[in-house]
Amino acid sequence: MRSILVVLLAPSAVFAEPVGEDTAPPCPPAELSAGDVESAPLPGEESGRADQEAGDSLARTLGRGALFVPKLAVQGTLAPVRASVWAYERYHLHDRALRLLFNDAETIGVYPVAQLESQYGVNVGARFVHRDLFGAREHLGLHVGTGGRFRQIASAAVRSGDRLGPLELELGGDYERRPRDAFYGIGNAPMLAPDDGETRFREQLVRATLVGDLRVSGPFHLRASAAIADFDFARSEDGPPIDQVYPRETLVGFDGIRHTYGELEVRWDSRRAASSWDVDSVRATGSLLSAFAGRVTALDAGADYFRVGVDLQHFVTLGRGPRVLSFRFYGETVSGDVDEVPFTQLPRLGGKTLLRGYALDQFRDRVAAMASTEYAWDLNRYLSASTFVDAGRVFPALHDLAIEDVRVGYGVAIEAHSRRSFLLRASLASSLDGGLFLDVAFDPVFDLGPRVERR
Amino acid sequence: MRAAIVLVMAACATPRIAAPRFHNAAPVAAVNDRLDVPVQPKPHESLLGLYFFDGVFGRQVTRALELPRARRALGVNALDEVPDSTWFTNRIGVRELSLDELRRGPLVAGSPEPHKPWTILSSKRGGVSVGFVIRDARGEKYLLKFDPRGQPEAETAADVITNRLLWAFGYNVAEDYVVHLRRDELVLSPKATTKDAFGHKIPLDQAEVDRSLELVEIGRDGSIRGMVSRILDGVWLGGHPGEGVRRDDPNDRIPHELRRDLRGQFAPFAWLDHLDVKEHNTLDMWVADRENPARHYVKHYLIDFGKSLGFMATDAHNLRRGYAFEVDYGDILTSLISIGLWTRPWEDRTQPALRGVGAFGADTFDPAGWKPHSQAYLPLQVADRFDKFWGAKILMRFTRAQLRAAVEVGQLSDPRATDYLVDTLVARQRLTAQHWFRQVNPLDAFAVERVTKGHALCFVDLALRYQLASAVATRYRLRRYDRDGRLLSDDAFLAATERTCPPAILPEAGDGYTILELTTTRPGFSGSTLVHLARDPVSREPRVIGVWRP
Repeated sequence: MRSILVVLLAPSAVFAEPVGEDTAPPCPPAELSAGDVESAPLPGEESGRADQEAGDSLARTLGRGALFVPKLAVQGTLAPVRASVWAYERYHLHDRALRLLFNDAETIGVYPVAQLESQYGVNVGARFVHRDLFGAREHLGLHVGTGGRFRQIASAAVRSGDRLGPLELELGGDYERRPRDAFYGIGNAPMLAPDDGETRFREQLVRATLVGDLRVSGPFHLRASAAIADFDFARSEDGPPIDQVYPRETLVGFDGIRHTYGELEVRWDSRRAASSWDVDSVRATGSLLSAFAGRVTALDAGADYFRVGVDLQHFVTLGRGPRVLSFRFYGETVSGDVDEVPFTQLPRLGGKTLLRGYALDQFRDRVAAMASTEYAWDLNRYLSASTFVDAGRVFPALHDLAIEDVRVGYGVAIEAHSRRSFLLRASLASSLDGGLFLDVAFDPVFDLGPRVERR
Repeated sequence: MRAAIVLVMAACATPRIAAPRFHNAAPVAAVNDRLDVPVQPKPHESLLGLYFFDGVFGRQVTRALELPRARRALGVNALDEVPDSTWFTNRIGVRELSLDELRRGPLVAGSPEPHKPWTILSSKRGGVSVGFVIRDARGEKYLLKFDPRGQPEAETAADVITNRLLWAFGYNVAEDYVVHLRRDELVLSPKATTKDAFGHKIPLDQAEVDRSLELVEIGRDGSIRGMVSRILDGVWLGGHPGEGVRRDDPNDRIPHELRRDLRGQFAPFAWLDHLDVKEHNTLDMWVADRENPARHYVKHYLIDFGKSLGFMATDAHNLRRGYAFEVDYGDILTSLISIGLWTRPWEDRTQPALRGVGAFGADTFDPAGWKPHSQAYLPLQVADRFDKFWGAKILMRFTRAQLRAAVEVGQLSDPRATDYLVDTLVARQRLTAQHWFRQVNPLDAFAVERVTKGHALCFVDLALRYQLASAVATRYRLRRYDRDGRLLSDDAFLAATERTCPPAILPEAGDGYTILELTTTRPGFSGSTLVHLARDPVSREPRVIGVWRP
C-alpha cells in the first residue's frame, strides 16, 4: 500500500522537469504488487466519469442488423480460404511439398507446371530437375506436358553450369505434338478463314540442340547454337482444314521438313534493377543489344537460307518504385523466298511477346519488324502495372520496309514478382484491328524467347 | 417587446457544455488488475499466416460490415491518463529518470557476458533469423540473437535502444543486452534440441549450429556480436490478441482495441519506427506476485524490437517500410489510378552510410502518416488523435541526454552513428510533438494552487514548453460553467506563458463543481480543453477532478 497513495496524483498533476544529469535517487520505485493495488478500482472503472458513454445510434444498430447476413456470407465465403491458410501453415504444407518433391538439399525434384493461354487453353505437365549433377551446378531438366497448345510435349536439357567457367554448354532434345497451331496466311493482311478467322494445322517436331554461351566480359556474351530438327504437318481436327483454305503450293514445307540450323549471336545485356532497394526481378535500367545470324541447311529437298535479326531493348528509370519506360525493337529476316522457306519458319509477329494485341503468329513473311514502348510502374513492392503499345508488320522483302499499314497493338498488364524472381504476368491486349487477348504468362515479356528452339 | 426578444435570444445563445461530468474524487493512479488468477490461462497461439490473412483482409472486411463507431480509448483516468497496471507503469511521464536508470531499464539479473561459457539448449530452425536459447554459467536462461551477415550492429543495437526507450515510456519489456562472444564460448548441450520443418523436436547437432552461425555477422577477429534477451519469469501465454480480451483472464476487462496504453503506442512506435507490430511481438506471462508468490496474474510485455530504427526497411531492402503497409490497398489503388504519377513520401528516403544504422531519418518522417508493417494489429488502426497526443507528450519528456544514454546502450562502434541516432531521435521527437500538439489542445499538468487571492488553476502549454509555438502569438480564453453547463463567466484573453495560472473561482455552496473551458488560439490552431474542478469534501480545497479534451 505504501506507494499507491504517494503516486495517486502522479500521472498528470506532477509534471517533473526533464533531467539531463544523474540527479534522481538511485533506487527506482519497485514494481507494484497485488497488495499495493488491493483497494484500487478494477480495470474499466478508473475513468471517474459520472455519466455513461453514449452507445450506438439507432441508425448504426439498424445498419449493423442489415449487414449481419452479408457479414455471414463473407465469413462463409472466406472460411475455405481461411481453412486453407490455416492448413498450409499448421501442417507445414510448403515444407511437406518440398520434402515430397525435392531432396533435402532441394537440388533434385519433380514438380507440376501449368500454363494458360487464351488461344490455346491450359497446359499441364511435370518437370524434373537436378540442379547440381556433379557439384558445379550442372543442371538437368526434363519436362513432359499435355493439353492446350501442346497435346504432348517432352523435352530434356542438360547445362554445364559453373563447370566450364565462363562458358556454359547446353544440350537439349524436344519432342512436341501440336494439334492445333494457327495459320492466318502469309503477309501483313492475311486472308482469314470464313468461319472462325483462322485455320489450324497439326505439327509434330523432333529436335536436338546444342548451345554454347560464353560470357566474354561483364554483360558481353557470345552465343553459338546448333540444331537438327524434323517437322511433320497435317490437317488439324479443329477448324477448316488449312490446305482447303490455302492452296497447297503456298504451304511450303507442309509435307515435312528436315534441316539443321547454326546460329551465332552477339549479346550485350546490362538489364538490371536500378537500385538495391528494388526487387531484383524488375529490370529498370540497362540495355540489351543482340544481333544474330544463322544458316538453315535442308536435309531434304528444301532450300537452304540465312536468318538474321536484332533485338534491341533499353530501360529508362523514371522514378523510384521503380517506374520504368522501356523500348524495344525487334527485327528478323530470312534470305530465301516465300516459295523456298517453309511457312512455319518465316519470321512471325503476334502473340503475347511480339506484337501483342494480335493472335499468336498472326503475321508471317520474309521480314518482320516491331517496335514497342512500355511504361511500367509499381503498385507495391511485389506488384506492378504496365501499359504498352506495340507496332509492327511483316514485309515481303527488306526493300519493302515502310511504315504504311503498320499493325498497332496495345494493352495493360499486371505483374507479380517476389524479391528475387518474376512470378507471373496477366495481360489484356487489343489492337486497332480489334480482338481481345487475355494471357497469363510465367516469363517476363522482355525475356529472350528460346529462338533456336522455335526453328 | 424588443427587450424580451433580446433576452430570449441571449438565453438561447448562452453556451452550454455537454461534456461528461466527473465524480468528485481523486483521479485513479493505478488499477487493480492483479486479482488472483489461480488457474493458468490458456496460451494464445495464432499462426502468423492466418493472423496476417485475417488482419490484412478477412477481419478488415467483416469488421467494416459491423459498422464500428469511433470510440474514445478506455483505460484512462479522469485526467485522461493511463493508470499503472500490469500493462503499463508510468515512468518518464511522471517522474525523473536518471541516466543510469534509463541505461539499466528493466534489468534485474544482469548481463550474462561475465558468465561464460554459454550452453546452447535449443535453437530455432534455420531461416535468416538465427537464435539459440542459452544458459549462462549462473544458470540464467536467455534467447541469443545476432546481426544478420552483412548488416553489422544494426539489429542488435536497434533492439536494445528501443527496449530501453519503451521501458522508460512505461511498457513492460524483457531484459535485453548487447553481448560479445567468441565461437568457442558457445557449448552445445548434449540434450540440445531444435525443430524440423514440421515442428517436430529433434536433436540439435554441432553441424546445425555451424550452419546457423554462417548466416550471422562475424568480425574479422572471430568475435561475434549478439543480443541476449533474458527468458521472462512466469509461464508463457503467447501474445495478447489485438481485439477483444483474453477470456480466461478475469483481470483483462477492457477490449484491447480500446486500451489507451495500446492505442497510444502509435506515437512512440512511429517515433522509433518500430514496424514489426503484431500479436506475436507481444508476450503475456502468468506470473507470481512479487510479495505474495501464491497469487498469480497475467503480466503483459512487448518484445523483439530488432526491426525498429529503420532496420526493417534495411533488412528487407524496402524503403516503403514505415510509409506503406505490406499490402496497402489505398496505395495500390492510388498508384494504379494515377498511373504512377503519385510521388510517394518514401521516394526521397535515404539511408545514412553509417555502420549500425538502418534507414532511419527525419527528413521524410510523417508522424501521422507512419504505418507499421501491416494493418493487422487493431489498436494502432483505431487509435485517435487523443491517443497519439498522449503518446507524444510522454515521448517528449525524453531529454537529449536521456536519448543519448539509451542509444549508447546499443554499443555502436562508430561514434558518428551514435550521434546520428541521437540527432534523428530528437528531430523525430520534435516532429511528432509538432504534429500531435496541433491536433489536440496541448495544455497539460493541470493543478489547483493556492495564490494570494484564493486559488489558481495552473497548466502547462506543452507547445510553448518545448518551443514548438510562439508565446507571443498564443492566446487563451477562459470560460466558466457550472455543473449543468451554464455559462458563468467569459474572461478576456490571457497572455500565454509556458505555465499559466488563471484564477480558479469556485462557488462556496456544495462541492463547487465548476467547468473551466480553456481555449488556446495561435496561428493555424484553435482548440479547447475542459477542466473540471470541485472542492475536496474533507478539506474544502478546490482540486482538479477531471479533464476532457473535446
